[in-house]
This record gives sequence, C-alpha cells and structure tokens, in this order.
Amino acid sequence: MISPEALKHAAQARGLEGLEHRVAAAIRGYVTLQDSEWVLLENTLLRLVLDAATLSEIDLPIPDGRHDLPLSLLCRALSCSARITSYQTNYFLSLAALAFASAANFSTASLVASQALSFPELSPFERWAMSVLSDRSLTLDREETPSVLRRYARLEQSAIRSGIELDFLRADRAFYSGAAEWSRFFNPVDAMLLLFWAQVRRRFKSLSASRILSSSGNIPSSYIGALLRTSSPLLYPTQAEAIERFDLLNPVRNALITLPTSTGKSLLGELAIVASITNERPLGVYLAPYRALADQIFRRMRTRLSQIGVTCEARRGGYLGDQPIDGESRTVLVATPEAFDAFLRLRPELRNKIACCVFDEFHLIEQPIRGLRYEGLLGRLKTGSSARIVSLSPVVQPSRQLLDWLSIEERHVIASAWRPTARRIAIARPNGRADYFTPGDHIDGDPQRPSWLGTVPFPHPIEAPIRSYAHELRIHDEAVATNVASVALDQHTRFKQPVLVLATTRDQTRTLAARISSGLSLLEEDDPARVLAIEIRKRCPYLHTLPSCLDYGVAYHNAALPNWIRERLEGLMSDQRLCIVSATTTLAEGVDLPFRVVVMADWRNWLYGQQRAMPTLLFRNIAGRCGRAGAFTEGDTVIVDNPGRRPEGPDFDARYEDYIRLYIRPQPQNLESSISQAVVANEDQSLKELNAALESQFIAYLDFAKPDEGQEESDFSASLFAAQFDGATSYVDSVTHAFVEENLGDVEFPVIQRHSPLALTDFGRGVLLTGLSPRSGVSLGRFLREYNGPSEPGVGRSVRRRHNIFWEPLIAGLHGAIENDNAFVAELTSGS
Amino acid sequence: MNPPPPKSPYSGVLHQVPGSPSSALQREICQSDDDLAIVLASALQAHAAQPPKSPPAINKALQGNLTEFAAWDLGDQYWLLYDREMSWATNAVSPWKASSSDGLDILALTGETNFALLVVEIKSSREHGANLVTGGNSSLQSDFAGLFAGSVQNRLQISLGTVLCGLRFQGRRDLEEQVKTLVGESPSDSPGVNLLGVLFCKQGSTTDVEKRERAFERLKSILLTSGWESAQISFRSVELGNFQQFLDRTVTEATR
Repeated sequence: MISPEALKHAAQARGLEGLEHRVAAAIRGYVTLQDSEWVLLENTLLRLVLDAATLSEIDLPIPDGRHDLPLSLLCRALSCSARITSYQTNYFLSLAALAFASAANFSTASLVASQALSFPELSPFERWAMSVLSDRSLTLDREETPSVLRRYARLEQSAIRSGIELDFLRADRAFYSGAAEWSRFFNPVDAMLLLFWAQVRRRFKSLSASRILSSSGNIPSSYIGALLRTSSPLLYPTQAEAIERFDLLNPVRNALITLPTSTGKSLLGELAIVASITNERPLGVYLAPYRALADQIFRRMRTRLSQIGVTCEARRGGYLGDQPIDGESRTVLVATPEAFDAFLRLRPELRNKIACCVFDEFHLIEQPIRGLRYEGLLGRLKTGSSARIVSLSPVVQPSRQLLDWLSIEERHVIASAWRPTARRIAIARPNGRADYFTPGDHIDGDPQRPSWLGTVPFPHPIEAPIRSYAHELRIHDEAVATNVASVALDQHTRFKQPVLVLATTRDQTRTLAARISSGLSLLEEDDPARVLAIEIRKRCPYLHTLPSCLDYGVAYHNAALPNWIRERLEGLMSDQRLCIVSATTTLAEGVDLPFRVVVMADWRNWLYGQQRAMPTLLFRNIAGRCGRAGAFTEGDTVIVDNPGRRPEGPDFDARYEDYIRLYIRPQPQNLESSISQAVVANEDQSLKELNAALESQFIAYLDFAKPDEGQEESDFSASLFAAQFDGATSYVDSVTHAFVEENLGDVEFPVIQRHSPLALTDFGRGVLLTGLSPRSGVSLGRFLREYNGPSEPGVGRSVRRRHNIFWEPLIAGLHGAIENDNAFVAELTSGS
Repeated sequence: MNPPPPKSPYSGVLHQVPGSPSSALQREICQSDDDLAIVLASALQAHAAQPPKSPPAINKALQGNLTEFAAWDLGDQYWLLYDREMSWATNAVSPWKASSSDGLDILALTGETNFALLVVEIKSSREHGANLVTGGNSSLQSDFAGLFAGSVQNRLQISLGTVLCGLRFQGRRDLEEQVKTLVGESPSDSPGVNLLGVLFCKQGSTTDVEKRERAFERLKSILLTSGWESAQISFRSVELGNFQQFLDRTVTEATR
C-alpha cells in the first residue's frame, strides 16, 4: 500500500515523464520505437502499474492537476501503448481505462474503455468493467455482468444512484466478501483490474452526484433524478469540490468559477441557478456569449428544469422581438448578452425577481464592445438588483480588482488546474521542426525545454516581406497560407481526426479552406458534407468557395455566413464529419466542439487600431478547446510561425521568445476592463466605438438602477469594472458628462430629461430598446424625419434583376447617410 | 494408501522443496497410480467447479488443466511445496475447462519473513516427457526463459498483480511492498524469485529416466547461464506407471 507521494517518487525514479513524452512522440509518428525499446517501456509501465494498483483506496491522489499528475502520466502512457504487435498489448487499454477512473477522470476512462472493447479477446470481468466505464450512465448490472458479480453490481449501482451512506456500506460488504473469492481465480490482468476497481469504487462514492447534491440541501430530489437520467451519475472532481468545499450552492454568495475547459462549469452554473431561485425571486439567467453555446446550454437544461416545474426559455437574438416573461413563475432564461440586455431594457421592473445570473465565458469582458456589454450588464445587476452573480471562465485570474468588483472573497474563488485531457502546445518552426511543450505537466522534466520534437512540412521558410508593396504582400500571404495549410493537412493525416485552423480574418478563413481542400480527396456523394454543399449551391449561389471545400470535407466558418449554414456546419463538426475547419476566433472561443488539433494560422490580431499579439488569455481559451473531454485523451495546439506583414517585424528568434513568453510559460494574467485598454490604446476608431457603447450602457443604467440625483454619472462609472483601473473612471465620466450636457440641450430629439434624477424621455425609451447609443438614436430620428424613400437608380438595374437582387430604398437611404456622415450611426460601421 | 502428510503448521509459509532436482514426488504420497487418482478425484469433487455429469474426453487442454490442478491442490496438501493460502493458480477456477488460460501456472509466496516468489510451471506427458523440459515450444525451458523476454503477457511483472490482488483481499496488505520488490528487470536482478518445474510423465524405462535427468540438468545449466542462481531452480517429476490410465481413472472417479 503506497501513498500518492510514494507513487510520485516511483514515477520520478523510473523516468515516467520522459517515457510518456517518448510514447506521445511515437503515436504522432515523429519517432519509431524499436521492439526492444517498447518492451523496456512496457515493463517499466507495468512496474508502475503495480505501484498505482496498490495505492490506498482511502488515500487516492487529489484530482487537482498536481497531486494526480504522476497517475495521469501513467494512464496516458498506458493508453498509447496498445498497438499491433506480435504479442497482446490490448490489455494496456483496459489497465489505462481503470487507472483513469481511479484518477477520477471518468470521461477519459470512458473513451479508453470503448477502445478496449473493440478487441475481442477480453475476459468476462474485463469486458464487464470496460462496458460499465464506457457507458455514460454507468450501469453496473447489465447483460455482460458475470454471474458471480451480479449481486455486488446491483448493490453498487443502487448506491451510486441513491447516494445513501448505508447503500455504499452494503456495496462495500458485497465487494470485499466477493473479491476475496474472485481474486483467487483471476488471471493476472483481471487481478490488476480488480485492484484498480477497488479504487474506482471510492471515486463512485466521492463523485456520486446524488450523494453530493442531496447533502447540499438546496437541490430538489426531482431535479437530481432528472440529472441522473440525462447525464452521468458522477460529477467531475472539480464540480464535487466546488459544491462540497466551496459551498457553491449557498444561494446568497457571489461566485467566481475558474476551471479549465471540459471540467463541467456549465452544470455548476445551472446548479447555482437551481439552488438560488425561489417563489419570491423566480428568475434565473444564464448568459452564453455565443448563439451556438446558448443553444447547447438550453438543450441540456430544458429537460431537467421541466422536472422541477421550472420553465426554460432561450433568447439568443439581438435587441428585436418580444420577451414574454411574466416574472411570477419560475423561469430560467438562457440568453446571449445582447438578448438579455434587451430583456432588461424592456422589463427593468423585474430587477428584483432575478435570483441568480450566470456569466459564462466571463473573460469576455476584456473584449472591445462585447466585453463592455458584459461589464455594463453586471454593473447594472450589482447596483440595481440583489441578484446573485456567478461568473464562469476557463482562464481568469482572480485579481484583487476583479474580486473587489465582484464582491467575492479570495477564499471563495473556485479554481482548479484539473483537466481531463492533456494539453500539448507546439511551435512549428520555419525549418520544419516542431517543438512540443507540455505546460503544467511536469513531475521532474525541465519545463524550459521542449518535451519532444517533431517535424512538419513547412514549404516556405519565410521571414517578413522586405517592402510593403502590394504584389510582395500578396506573394507573402500566399506563402504563409501554404505553410498553414501544409501543417493542418499534416496534423489531420497523423491523427485522422478533426483539425481546427484558427484564422484572424474572414478572408483568411476562406483562403485557407480553399488551399487545404486541394490537399484532400473528394468525399463520397452521399457524405453529409456534400449533401450540405448541394443545398448551399441551391440556396446561396453566391457562395462559391464553401460548397467546393465541403466536397472535400473542409469548411470555413465565420460571422459572414448565414445562420442556417453556420448551424449546419456546427452540426457536422459536432459529429466529426469535417476533416478540417478554418474559422475565426468566434467559433473557437465559445463552443465545445470536438477537434483533436488547433492550428494557429496567425498569432496576432487587430486590436485598438493596430496589430497586436493575441492576448494570453484568449490563446489559453482557444488552446483549451482542442481535445474535448470524452472525445480525445489529449489535445494539441500548433502555433505555425508567422512572420507577419510588417517589414520591420521581429525575426524568428524574437518571435520564438514571444511564443514562449505569451503562450507556453506566461506570467499570470489579470483580467482588464476593455474600457481601460481602449483608453490606454487611445486610438480614434476604438474610442469612437467605445463611446457609443458607453452611452448605450449609460442610459440603460439610468433606467434600471435609478441612481440618485447628481450621482448618475459617477454611480454608473463606479458600477463598472473599469472603476478598478486608473484613468478609466475619469474617461467614462467625461463621456457620459459630455453626452448629458449635449443631449439635455437637444430640444428636437431629447433622450434624457432632468426629472430629479435624470430620466429617459419617451423617445429615449424607444432608443433604449434598440440597444443603440443615444447619439445613434438621435441620428436615426433625424434621418427618418427627412427620409423620402429614394427611387431606384437606373445604373446597375439590369444586373440586379439578373441576380434576383431587390432594391430596398431604406437600406439605400441608410447607406447614403453613412457615406455623407462618418459619425452617423457608429454601430453600423463598427459591426457592433 | 499412505495417510496424507499433515497440513502445514505454518500459516502463509512455504516449505523448501526437498531433495535434488527431478526427485519423483508421486512415490512420496501413495503407493500406486490408482491411489493417486483417487486422491486427485476426491480433490476435484471437493472443488467449487463441479465435475461434469459424464466423463469428458481427455484432450490436451483437459490433461493440462487436471495436472495443473493436481500440482496446485496436492502440492499443498501432500507434497508440501507451498501453502495454498499463499498460492494462486491460473487454471484453478475450473480444472474441467476445455481450454487453458494463458499465464504462469502457479504463483506462490514462500518463506516466513523474507518472502520469495515461487513460479511453478507444470507439464504433462504420456511419455517420458524429456522434450517438455528442454524442447523448443511449450517446454519448461521456453516458459522460464520467457519470463524476462518475449511476450509481455507472460512477464512476471504483471503476474505479480495476481499475488497483490490475493494479498489485498485476504487482508495482507502489509506484504504488498515486499512482494513488489521481488521481481527485478532480469533474473540476476530478481533474487526473490524461485523457479519450480513439475513434470507429470510416464515412469518408463531407466533410459527414459536418464533422458529426463539429462534434460533437467541441461535446462538448469541454460538457466544458470541466463543469470539465475542454482538455489533459485528446482524440478520435480510425478512419475506414473501409465499416465493415460491414471487420467482415465481420475476422471471416472471424479465424475462417478
């Protein structure tokens, strides 16, 4: 019987980390291990398996990404060691599956167990154990259950589902009295599996959703029943810790949950809502910043909530459409920030009916404009209601400013480094070498050095263009695109699994998709991707590139595509029917889709008027998207070296240092308000967009929070996260002050009026509901007053007829207004 | 029939295997093949896996399973090779199976404080059996030589799982760490491992006995060359007047 610490020492003594890296390089095809090396490796792993199998059931490693790391490294190495050879190695998968489960990583255990089941030569016990683990509902009493195990299996299953201590005790007795007999006759592999099973049983109890949620006292039993019917009866370790140690289900306290991707944040948000809503405060809100994410959350929640008489409503549009929620019956609203903003603007009187508001992807507050909407919403709720605020993010650091703003004590921040899948980050160099790093996964290795090296095709070992001439830039861009496409194709060939290529512009998504598709074979005619291509050709004949790419299993995804196409593409991605997808960050940031590899086409994007390195938090969020739990055991992010288009750009050595500094070994990054960032950047267009968004949030705040007279502007700025940063508050105050001064003098289109305190006029309330800035509202008012419906010009008429394009006078009028006045409606030119 | 020797008074203790290599065990227990068959049949009837209702045909697999069972059951009670509480036999789950499971035939912990791991391989032949000692395939030589090479399935490392599992559920977790250290990465690195080859065979002529003796000596020499120590190696043969008749009698008695 050994302790987790002793296992770590054993792993260090036997060089487990190096072995795991060696196997990782081998399964990627970067090295070929000779038979003798495999044999040595297998023996070492098996020796460590003996150690892991003799861990005490009552002192298993804490699943926190640190204490459990040696066991996780062993599991990964084992799962990669099953291969076709002259002797049987498939039992490595069975050992890995149970060891993963023993490490409380049931999602990966399930995946590996499914792989183990694909081999025919399994003993009855092995087949049963693998069938149980691969089944999300964890049904122990099943067809494959060996007769000698049946009684125990029934008792264990019933204990997991009831969560009752006495039931676990009964299962304990049945297991230990049976195991003494079974162990006498088990073959060596079964015996080892039985040792692990004893540990796995402990995890059944410690992670039993029923036990944990019943103990909390704040979750109705009917909801627990519905949860067990729709998802695994076990919680993730992160979820168990959030509830048991951090008291997440305490309905009063605000919470910040910062857990890696695929560790169950969404369910925690849902549980926080369920624990908070009451008859007096019957509204719960779950904000998901992307439509696809909102849909995903809504589908999961709806069934469960209906079991406890709670209505689940989805709101994912913008500022238009009705919002019929009565505020009396228990309702959970799953909404995009825009839709919820619209809801609050329309129904401010419901402020005191909101029990809890969950902000998913909370780090979004760093992003220009959208971030400000999140910030404004949270500020409004903080000031004008007593709703509980729960913030979720995979990447946020709990800085002092953030905790102060959210009114959370540091000891109540729910954080963990536990991840069900391994994260690998590679830098593809111009010489074709790929340096693989495994951040945070070291027990004795040197984190400064690459964990292993690979080779990738890099047809153009380019540096930055010498001059900014158009033709030189074009050649340069093509060379970069070829490099990225080659790496993406190489990664797809190595894994035969989906690859996401991350582009920074919509144009780049199209270019890359076209280039990549030329390296793949035509799909069968009845392939769903080709079926979609036919439909796109019919319904959207102007889209040429996308259907051509789909014929080869490739797609691009960006905000310019119609919604229905994006949704269909997301469906194909979810079913892993597309080989490679190139997309802008919008897809990669929000939705949990199964990609094995993310290839970064560029590491810079336009921000505040200039090209800047992609922020560390954004990169970490995107990198966390590959290797979804339950779909893969690990996820790779490959940064393809891109010298950029600036002739004076840094050379490769300097870029490499940047990659390491920003993405491989970054310093802790505190979240910053998008307002303070824009103020510091001091770039005209960004400030113009910021001002519009601030004014829009300001009038929403006035209507919702009803600040005292004379305090309107200062209360608003104090409600924002920006108030935590020097300089930002005074900027916000100056913007709102200038707007108030100017608009109070506008007799034609007044948005606000002095009404002790400031209040919205009838026109102002109309503007409020549009979500636009009041200046834009005023501009539109003036435009409509003078609008006379321009007639269709003769120029281009025949072309329009030929392509079935209709002339819309209002659109034409708006276009003309924008052309004439740069400040007409800021939102129309910024796209926000 | 001689009365069986008394059950070992030691708990969890294995006896040193007495005598020199190849000394025949059968004669120490009973005076005739028939007596041995009756003892074995009785053990088979007492086993949890009930004998079939009618006598099965004796094929190679059944022959192997029955002799492995004989070595496991009688080896504890009569030959004092080990204590069965501390031994684990791959095919003990059902001696009547139509096939045999892969793996080391019997593993046992021996000793009182400093434990050793006894690896027992059983072979059975209807002839003199020398070819099962040093032959190319499925011989004691291939089994023992393969302990640290070749197929991973047969490695001692993973077989230790059986022992650890047995200890865990018999409430002897205190022995786990000691047991894990018994097996190293090579024979010379594994002084805690002992090898015991048991051959069930036909008594045969003096020439047959000599052939067997020479095979045992040859195998011992091969194992010494590959790093094993002399004290780690022992062989025994169970010589029967007529192996076929012995099995027939055993099966008939057990299924009666």
